[in-house]
Formats: sequence, structure tokens, C-alpha cells
Amino acid sequence: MHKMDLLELQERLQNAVSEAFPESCWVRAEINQLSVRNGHCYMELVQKDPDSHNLVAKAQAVVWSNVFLFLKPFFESSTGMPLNAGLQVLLKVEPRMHPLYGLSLNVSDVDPSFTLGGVELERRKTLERLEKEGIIDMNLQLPFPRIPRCLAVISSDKAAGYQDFANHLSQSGYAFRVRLFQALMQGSGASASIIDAMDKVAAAGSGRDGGYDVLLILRGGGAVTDLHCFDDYSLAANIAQFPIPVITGIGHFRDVHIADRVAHMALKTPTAAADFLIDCLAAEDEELEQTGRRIERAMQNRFNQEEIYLSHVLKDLKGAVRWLVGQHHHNLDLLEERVVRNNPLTILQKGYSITVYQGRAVREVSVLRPGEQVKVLLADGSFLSTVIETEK
Amino acid sequence: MTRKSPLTYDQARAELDELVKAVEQPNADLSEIAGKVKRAVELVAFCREYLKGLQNDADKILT
Repeated sequence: MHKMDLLELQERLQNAVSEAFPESCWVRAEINQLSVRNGHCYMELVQKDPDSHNLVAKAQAVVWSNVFLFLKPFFESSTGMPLNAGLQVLLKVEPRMHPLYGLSLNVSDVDPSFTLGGVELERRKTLERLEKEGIIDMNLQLPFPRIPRCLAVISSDKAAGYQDFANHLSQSGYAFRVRLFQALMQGSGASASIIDAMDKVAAAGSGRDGGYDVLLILRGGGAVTDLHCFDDYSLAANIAQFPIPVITGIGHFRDVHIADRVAHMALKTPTAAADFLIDCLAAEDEELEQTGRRIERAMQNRFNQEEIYLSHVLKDLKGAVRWLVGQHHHNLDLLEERVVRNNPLTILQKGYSITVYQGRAVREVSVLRPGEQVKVLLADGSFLSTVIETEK
Repeated sequence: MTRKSPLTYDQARAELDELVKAVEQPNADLSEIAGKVKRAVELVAFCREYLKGLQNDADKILT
């Protein structure tokens, strides 16, 4: 049997590889690790079993600096995300065996549409999962407060977007209460960092308990780099189930993220979010003012009505008093007339006389007997008289 | 027949009604009738004065 040294073995492998792959080929893989040294990009590519997720293949790949210089911006501008570990990629590679460094794949090109397709597929799966779990519309269905005044903001204090947002609100003249909960807003740690901040906001309770009316997740400002976190399932599930309405202002130009889909409202920029909140308060303000004007008008109308009514009442009362007094005067006249008519003096003054027997006026001759004494009353005096004879 | 306490209009009217009825009685006691007539005339005057005051007050209040 032929015995050879290691270099010969490696050189034969080198030749075999070169013969097997005379030209470049496209290979699908997941980037497991990635590092850039001296302008060269070194990657560990892997393939996992779709069910068990165990590694079934692994290879080293390198993008030399002269290629990486163009490949990096091309990939990032096409996909809106940096070339990072965790991405599924389609790379044009030339497998090369080096006697000293072993097998390596020289990368000469990348197909961004493959990665985008993978991301899109992943997004669709996440959306389906949220739907299946029945939580996708939970935040959307929360009633939005009429006066969103106490605001929790998750952002980075360095982000220009947050500053724009805060300035915009303070210039509005409305007394918003804003508190910033800091979090990483991009990169692989962003999702966990944002969820951590959300837990702190939730612990403060809702607006009624001195907590917050609305949560805003604002990125804003700077170049669009890695917004992959806003498609993350855990972050989306947390937003969907958050106890108060969530507004996102992630400030991206590409299509909508899952975080936007599950939030109560998605606005393009932090400034747009501020405008929306100011509009809410302005609308409430306007409505209050209108209500005030309506009340004022109604009061004035009522006042006028009452004024008219009262003047009528006054007139009626005057009339009533006049009538009542008149009525009483009339009754008094009648009574007086009756008294005067029955006053014996009135009769006597007309020349009639009254015969009095035992203190009473004599109305029948039968009460008198001859010889009895009677008193005869005249207007100016009286005289005694004796009955001589009676006749009927 | 004279009253010491101030009379109200209603009391005066009630008394007046009684006096008129008494005077109209066919067998009224003649010795009392003159006094009753006098009292009735007084009461009528009192009531008229009262009504006049009432009308004046009402006119003053209801302007």
C-alpha cells in the first residue's frame, strides 16, 4: 500500500475539490457565526435538521475584503438588515482546499432575495402562530383612552426620534406626562431588552392607578439597520397582550413589521406619534369648548324664557290681586247694603214708626190687648202709648 | 262688642257675616240692633282700609 505524507494527502484533496467544482456554485446555508477581521469576513455556515434542529452540516466560508467591500452594502441595502448570524443565505461559493488551512468556501456573491424570502416566510409563520393563539388582535381591541396624557416610552435616549417626540409634545402646550424606559432598539438583544422595559411599564399599572395610558415604542432616527427584532415572536406576543394600548413608531421605510401589526396603532415616525397624541387632546379640548358654548347658549335661552315667564307671572299676579281685592270690595258693598237696609233707623227716617212691646217689634196685632202699654219708636225719639182697641 | 287684639281681615269678615245675619233676623232684639249696625259699619270700613293697603302693597311689590 502506498504511504504518503500529510502534504501529499492534502494536495490530492485540493486537486479533487478543484476537479469536483471547476466552477462556482450556489449553496443555501444558515450563518452560524460571523466575524470581520482586516476587512475579510469569516463565516461558519451550518445546516440544521428541520425537525430536530440538530446540525447536519457545517463549513467555513470567507468573503475576502475586495469582495466584502461591495457585497456588504449590496446585501444591506437590498434586505434592510446586516449580514448577521442567524440569517438564511444563498451564497455563490467556490469550494477550495488548502493544504495548511483545510476546506473553505470562497464567497463571491450573495442573493438577497433568498434571505428576504426566508424572512418573509418566517414572518408569515409568526403571524399564523399569533393568530392561532388568539392574541393577534388583543391590543387592537383595547379601548383607546380619550385623553392619552400619561405616556410610557420605550426608546433609546440617544435616538434623535425620542428627542423629536419629547420636543414636539412639550411645544404642544398640553401637559403630557412622559417617562422614558430605556432599551436597545436594534440588533439581536433588542427584543429581550424591549420586553424587559415593557415589564417595568406594566408594573406601573394603567392610567387610572397612576400608571400609563399608552405605551409608545419608538426607534426613530439613524440609518435603517437591523429591525429584525420587530418581527420577533416574543416581542409581538408581548405587545399583543400588553394591558394598555401600544403605539409603534419604528421609523422604517420598508413594509410593516409584525410589531406594527399587533400594536394598537402603527405610525411611521415618532413625530407622527406625537402629532397623533396632540390631535387626541386637541379634539377633546375642542369638544369641551363646544360643550361649554352649548351650555352657555342653553343657559341664556333658559334665562330669557324664565325672564318672559316671570314678567307674565308678575302681570298675572297684579291682575289676580286687583280682581281679588275688587271681589272683596264688591262683597263688602253688598254686606253694607244689607246692613243699611235692615237698620231700623232707615225705616224710621222715611216716616214709618215701630211699635215695641216687651222689647220686640210688634208684627201682629194679636199679641196686643186693650189697655196694654207699648213704646212707639220714631226717627228722632219715642213715646209711650196705650192700646185702646185692636182690630184685624 | 269692641275687641282689644288687632283684627285680621278674615276675622273681621266672619264677624261681619254674623252681624248681617243677626240684623236680618225678623225677631231681632231692637235694643241690640243699633249696636250691631254700628259695629258692622265699623267692620266694613276696616275691611275696605285693609283691602286698600293690600292693593297698594301689591302694586308696590309687583312693579
